[in-house]
Amino acid sequence: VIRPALSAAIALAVGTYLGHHLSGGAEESRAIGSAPPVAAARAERAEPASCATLPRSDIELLKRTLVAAIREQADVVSSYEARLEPPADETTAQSLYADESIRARLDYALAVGRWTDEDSAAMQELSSRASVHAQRQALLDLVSALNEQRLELETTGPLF
Amino acid sequence: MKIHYIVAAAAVTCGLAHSSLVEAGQKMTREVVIVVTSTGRHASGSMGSARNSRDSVQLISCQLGAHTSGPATQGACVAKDATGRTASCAFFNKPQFESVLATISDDSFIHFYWDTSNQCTAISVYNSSAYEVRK
Repeated sequence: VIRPALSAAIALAVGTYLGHHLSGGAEESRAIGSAPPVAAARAERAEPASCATLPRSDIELLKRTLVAAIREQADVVSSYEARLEPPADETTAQSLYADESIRARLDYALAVGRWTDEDSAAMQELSSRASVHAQRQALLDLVSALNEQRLELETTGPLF
Repeated sequence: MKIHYIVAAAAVTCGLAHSSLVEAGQKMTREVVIVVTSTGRHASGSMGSARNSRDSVQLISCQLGAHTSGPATQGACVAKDATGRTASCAFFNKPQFESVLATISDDSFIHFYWDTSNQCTAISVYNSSAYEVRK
Protein backbone atom coordinates (compact mmCIF):
# COMPACT_ATOMS: atom_id res chain seq x y z
CA VAL A 1 0.00 0.00 0.00
CA ILE A 2 2.82 2.31 0.93
CA ARG A 3 5.38 1.79 -1.84
CA PRO A 4 3.10 2.61 -4.77
CA ALA A 5 1.97 5.64 -2.81
CA LEU A 6 5.57 6.70 -2.25
CA SER A 7 6.40 6.22 -5.92
CA ALA A 8 3.32 8.19 -6.86
CA ALA A 9 4.33 10.99 -4.49
CA ILE A 10 7.83 11.14 -5.93
CA ALA A 11 6.49 11.14 -9.47
CA LEU A 12 4.05 13.84 -8.47
CA ALA A 13 6.83 15.90 -6.89
CA VAL A 14 9.03 15.55 -9.98
CA GLY A 15 6.12 16.30 -12.26
CA THR A 16 5.12 19.30 -10.19
CA TYR A 17 8.65 20.59 -10.20
CA LEU A 18 9.19 20.08 -13.89
CA GLY A 19 5.79 21.53 -14.73
CA HIS A 20 6.53 24.52 -12.57
CA HIS A 21 10.01 24.88 -13.97
CA LEU A 22 8.95 24.63 -17.60
CA SER A 23 5.88 26.80 -17.42
CA GLY A 24 7.66 29.21 -15.14
CA GLY A 25 10.49 29.48 -17.65
CA ALA A 26 8.09 30.11 -20.50
CA GLU A 27 6.29 32.81 -18.58
CA GLU A 28 9.55 34.37 -17.68
CA SER A 29 10.55 34.42 -21.34
CA ARG A 30 7.31 36.09 -22.25
CA ALA A 31 7.55 38.47 -19.38
CA ILE A 32 10.92 39.76 -20.22
CA GLY A 33 10.16 39.61 -23.92
CA SER A 34 13.60 38.38 -24.77
CA ALA A 35 12.18 35.84 -27.16
CA PRO A 36 8.86 35.47 -28.97
CA PRO A 37 6.43 32.80 -27.69
CA VAL A 38 7.06 30.58 -30.71
CA ALA A 39 10.77 30.66 -30.12
CA ALA A 40 10.29 29.93 -26.48
CA ALA A 41 8.07 26.98 -27.29
CA ARG A 42 10.59 25.76 -29.78
CA ALA A 43 13.34 26.08 -27.22
CA GLU A 44 11.35 23.97 -24.73
CA ARG A 45 10.91 21.24 -27.29
CA ALA A 46 14.52 21.47 -28.36
CA GLU A 47 15.93 21.26 -24.83
CA PRO A 48 13.75 19.14 -22.53
CA ALA A 49 14.65 19.63 -18.87
CA SER A 50 16.98 17.06 -17.38
CA CYS A 51 19.30 16.94 -14.42
CA ALA A 52 22.20 17.41 -16.76
CA THR A 53 20.81 20.70 -18.06
CA LEU A 54 19.28 22.00 -14.82
CA PRO A 55 21.14 24.65 -12.89
CA ARG A 56 22.48 23.68 -9.48
CA SER A 57 19.85 25.75 -7.65
CA ASP A 58 17.06 23.94 -9.49
CA ILE A 59 18.55 20.57 -8.60
CA GLU A 60 18.61 21.69 -4.96
CA LEU A 61 14.98 22.71 -5.25
CA LEU A 62 14.10 19.37 -6.79
CA LYS A 63 15.99 17.60 -4.05
CA ARG A 64 14.13 19.56 -1.36
CA THR A 65 10.81 18.80 -3.04
CA LEU A 66 11.64 15.11 -3.15
CA VAL A 67 12.78 15.06 0.48
CA ALA A 68 9.55 16.80 1.51
CA ALA A 69 7.51 14.26 -0.45
CA ILE A 70 9.41 11.37 1.11
CA ARG A 71 8.97 12.83 4.59
CA GLU A 72 5.29 13.22 3.95
CA GLN A 73 5.09 9.58 2.96
CA ALA A 74 7.12 8.60 6.01
CA ASP A 75 4.48 10.29 8.15
CA VAL A 76 1.84 8.29 6.34
CA VAL A 77 3.80 5.11 7.03
CA SER A 78 4.19 6.05 10.70
CA SER A 79 0.52 6.69 11.16
CA TYR A 80 -0.26 3.47 9.30
CA GLU A 81 2.09 1.53 11.57
CA ALA A 82 0.62 3.24 14.61
CA ARG A 83 -2.77 1.98 13.57
CA LEU A 84 -1.34 -1.51 13.26
CA GLU A 85 0.13 -1.40 16.79
CA PRO A 86 -2.11 -3.14 19.29
CA PRO A 87 -3.81 -0.91 21.86
CA ALA A 88 -2.47 -1.07 25.41
CA ASP A 89 -5.07 -3.55 26.52
CA GLU A 90 -4.85 -5.84 23.54
CA THR A 91 -3.35 -9.17 24.24
CA THR A 92 0.40 -9.30 23.82
CA ALA A 93 2.61 -12.28 24.49
CA GLN A 94 3.50 -10.91 27.91
CA SER A 95 -0.03 -10.09 28.99
CA LEU A 96 -1.28 -13.39 27.59
CA TYR A 97 1.17 -15.19 29.86
CA ALA A 98 0.10 -13.05 32.82
CA ASP A 99 -3.57 -13.62 32.01
CA GLU A 100 -3.06 -17.38 31.96
CA SER A 101 -0.97 -17.28 35.13
CA ILE A 102 -3.65 -15.38 37.04
CA ARG A 103 -6.24 -17.87 35.87
CA ALA A 104 -3.98 -20.78 36.86
CA ARG A 105 -3.34 -19.25 40.28
CA LEU A 106 -7.03 -18.85 40.94
CA ASP A 107 -7.77 -22.37 39.71
CA TYR A 108 -5.09 -23.77 41.97
CA ALA A 109 -6.46 -21.86 44.96
CA LEU A 110 -9.95 -23.14 44.18
CA ALA A 111 -8.62 -26.70 43.96
CA VAL A 112 -6.92 -26.34 47.34
CA GLY A 113 -9.83 -24.35 48.78
CA ARG A 114 -7.71 -21.56 50.26
CA TRP A 115 -6.76 -18.00 49.34
CA THR A 116 -3.49 -17.18 51.04
CA ASP A 117 -1.07 -14.27 51.27
CA GLU A 118 1.08 -15.97 48.61
CA ASP A 119 -1.89 -16.11 46.25
CA SER A 120 -2.65 -12.47 46.95
CA ALA A 121 0.94 -11.41 46.29
CA ALA A 122 1.10 -13.45 43.10
CA MET A 123 -2.15 -11.96 41.84
CA GLN A 124 -0.90 -8.49 42.60
CA GLU A 125 2.34 -9.11 40.74
CA LEU A 126 0.68 -10.72 37.73
CA SER A 127 -2.00 -8.05 37.56
CA SER A 128 0.63 -5.45 36.74
CA ARG A 129 1.21 -7.28 33.45
CA ALA A 130 -2.18 -8.76 32.74
CA SER A 131 -4.86 -7.35 30.49
CA VAL A 132 -7.66 -5.21 31.89
CA HIS A 133 -10.15 -7.94 31.17
CA ALA A 134 -8.11 -10.61 32.98
CA GLN A 135 -7.59 -8.40 36.04
CA ARG A 136 -11.23 -7.58 36.27
CA GLN A 137 -12.36 -11.16 35.70
CA ALA A 138 -9.88 -12.53 38.23
CA LEU A 139 -11.12 -10.19 40.96
CA LEU A 140 -14.76 -10.96 40.20
CA ASP A 141 -14.05 -14.70 40.21
CA LEU A 142 -12.21 -14.35 43.49
CA VAL A 143 -15.00 -12.50 45.30
CA SER A 144 -17.53 -14.88 43.78
CA ALA A 145 -15.64 -17.89 45.15
CA LEU A 146 -15.36 -16.24 48.56
CA ASN A 147 -19.07 -15.44 48.66
CA GLU A 148 -19.94 -18.99 47.70
CA GLN A 149 -17.58 -20.22 50.43
CA ARG A 150 -15.58 -22.17 47.86
CA LEU A 151 -12.45 -20.45 49.11
CA GLU A 152 -11.33 -20.08 52.68
CA LEU A 153 -9.92 -16.60 53.20
CA GLU A 154 -6.55 -17.00 54.87
CA THR A 155 -4.90 -13.73 53.99
CA THR A 156 -3.53 -11.53 56.69
CA GLY A 157 -2.99 -8.63 54.30
CA PRO A 158 -4.53 -7.42 51.07
CA LEU A 159 -7.05 -9.59 49.24
CA PHE A 160 -5.42 -9.12 45.84
CA MET B 1 -21.96 -5.86 112.38
CA LYS B 2 -22.87 -2.23 111.82
CA ILE B 3 -19.33 -1.51 110.72
CA HIS B 4 -19.53 -4.27 108.12
CA TYR B 5 -22.65 -2.73 106.62
CA ILE B 6 -20.95 0.66 106.47
CA VAL B 7 -17.86 -0.77 104.78
CA ALA B 8 -19.99 -2.70 102.30
CA ALA B 9 -22.06 0.37 101.45
CA ALA B 10 -18.91 2.45 101.00
CA ALA B 11 -17.45 -0.18 98.72
CA VAL B 12 -20.59 -0.28 96.58
CA THR B 13 -20.65 3.52 96.38
CA CYS B 14 -17.00 3.67 95.37
CA GLY B 15 -17.54 0.92 92.82
CA LEU B 16 -20.47 2.76 91.25
CA ALA B 17 -18.54 6.01 91.17
CA HIS B 18 -15.54 4.32 89.62
CA SER B 19 -17.71 2.55 87.08
CA SER B 20 -19.47 5.74 86.02
CA LEU B 21 -16.12 7.39 85.41
CA VAL B 22 -14.72 4.49 83.39
CA GLU B 23 -17.88 3.89 81.36
CA ALA B 24 -18.46 7.51 80.42
CA GLY B 25 -19.89 8.01 76.93
CA GLN B 26 -21.69 5.66 74.59
CA LYS B 27 -19.92 2.52 73.63
CA MET B 28 -21.01 0.19 70.90
CA THR B 29 -19.63 -3.14 69.94
CA ARG B 30 -20.29 -4.02 66.34
CA GLU B 31 -18.90 -7.38 65.46
CA VAL B 32 -18.99 -8.60 61.89
CA VAL B 33 -22.43 -9.55 60.57
CA ILE B 34 -23.10 -10.99 57.13
CA VAL B 35 -26.63 -11.00 55.78
CA VAL B 36 -27.56 -12.77 52.57
CA THR B 37 -31.25 -13.04 51.78
CA SER B 38 -33.34 -13.17 48.66
CA THR B 39 -33.78 -9.42 48.87
CA GLY B 40 -30.29 -8.24 49.68
CA ARG B 41 -26.69 -8.96 50.49
CA HIS B 42 -24.69 -6.91 52.91
CA ALA B 43 -22.01 -7.15 55.54
CA SER B 44 -20.98 -4.82 58.32
CA GLY B 45 -18.84 -4.44 61.38
CA SER B 46 -16.54 -2.06 63.12
CA MET B 47 -12.83 -2.38 62.73
CA GLY B 48 -12.32 -2.17 66.49
CA SER B 49 -14.92 -4.79 67.38
CA ALA B 50 -13.66 -7.22 64.75
CA ARG B 51 -10.11 -6.75 65.91
CA ASN B 52 -10.97 -7.04 69.62
CA SER B 53 -13.36 -9.95 69.24
CA ARG B 54 -12.64 -13.02 71.35
CA ASP B 55 -12.27 -15.20 68.29
CA SER B 56 -9.33 -14.94 65.98
CA VAL B 57 -11.52 -15.15 62.91
CA GLN B 58 -13.42 -11.91 62.38
CA LEU B 59 -12.22 -9.24 60.06
CA ILE B 60 -13.57 -6.48 57.92
CA SER B 61 -11.54 -4.54 55.37
CA CYS B 62 -11.64 -2.60 52.16
CA GLN B 63 -8.92 -2.30 49.58
CA LEU B 64 -8.25 0.05 46.72
CA GLY B 65 -5.59 -0.41 44.05
CA ALA B 66 -4.54 0.40 40.53
CA HIS B 67 -2.14 -0.84 37.90
CA THR B 68 -1.09 1.09 34.85
CA SER B 69 -2.21 -1.82 32.71
CA GLY B 70 -5.54 -2.37 34.42
CA PRO B 71 -8.73 -0.53 35.16
CA ALA B 72 -8.10 2.99 36.48
CA THR B 73 -8.88 1.69 39.95
CA GLN B 74 -10.23 -1.48 41.38
CA GLY B 75 -11.24 -2.25 44.89
CA ALA B 76 -12.87 -4.76 47.14
CA CYS B 77 -14.40 -5.05 50.59
CA VAL B 78 -14.21 -8.25 52.61
CA ALA B 79 -15.87 -9.38 55.80
CA LYS B 80 -15.47 -12.57 57.77
CA ASP B 81 -17.77 -13.31 60.68
CA ALA B 82 -17.12 -15.32 63.83
CA THR B 83 -18.25 -18.54 62.15
CA GLY B 84 -15.69 -18.11 59.39
CA ARG B 85 -18.22 -17.21 56.73
CA THR B 86 -16.83 -14.77 54.19
CA ALA B 87 -18.51 -12.04 52.18
CA SER B 88 -16.90 -9.75 49.66
CA CYS B 89 -17.54 -7.50 46.73
CA ALA B 90 -15.47 -5.82 44.04
CA PHE B 91 -15.72 -2.56 42.16
CA PHE B 92 -13.97 -0.97 39.21
CA ASN B 93 -13.50 2.70 38.38
CA LYS B 94 -15.93 4.03 40.99
CA PRO B 95 -14.71 7.43 42.19
CA GLN B 96 -17.63 7.68 44.61
CA PHE B 97 -16.46 4.53 46.42
CA GLU B 98 -12.88 5.73 46.41
CA SER B 99 -13.93 8.91 48.20
CA VAL B 100 -15.78 6.90 50.82
CA LEU B 101 -12.87 4.53 51.38
CA ALA B 102 -10.60 7.49 51.95
CA THR B 103 -12.56 8.27 55.14
CA ILE B 104 -11.95 4.89 56.79
CA SER B 105 -10.01 5.07 60.02
CA ASP B 106 -8.81 2.41 62.44
CA ASP B 107 -12.07 2.56 64.36
CA SER B 108 -14.58 2.96 61.55
CA PHE B 109 -17.76 1.01 61.13
CA ILE B 110 -17.98 -0.33 57.56
CA HIS B 111 -21.12 -1.47 55.83
CA PHE B 112 -21.13 -2.74 52.25
CA TYR B 113 -23.72 -4.14 49.87
CA TRP B 114 -23.31 -6.17 46.72
CA ASP B 115 -25.38 -7.53 43.85
CA THR B 116 -25.74 -10.95 42.27
CA SER B 117 -22.66 -10.34 40.12
CA ASN B 118 -20.66 -9.73 43.32
CA GLN B 119 -20.01 -6.10 42.52
CA CYS B 120 -20.32 -3.58 45.32
CA THR B 121 -23.47 -1.51 45.08
CA ALA B 122 -22.96 0.62 48.20
CA ILE B 123 -20.26 1.23 50.75
CA SER B 124 -20.84 3.21 53.94
CA VAL B 125 -18.30 4.27 56.50
CA TYR B 126 -19.30 5.56 59.93
CA ASN B 127 -16.85 7.25 62.22
CA SER B 128 -18.13 7.65 65.76
CA SER B 129 -16.77 7.96 69.28
CA ALA B 130 -19.14 5.16 70.21
CA TYR B 131 -17.33 2.55 68.19
CA GLU B 132 -14.85 0.36 69.86
CA VAL B 133 -11.25 1.37 69.56
CA ARG B 134 -8.84 -1.17 68.23
CA LYS B 135 -6.54 -2.47 70.96
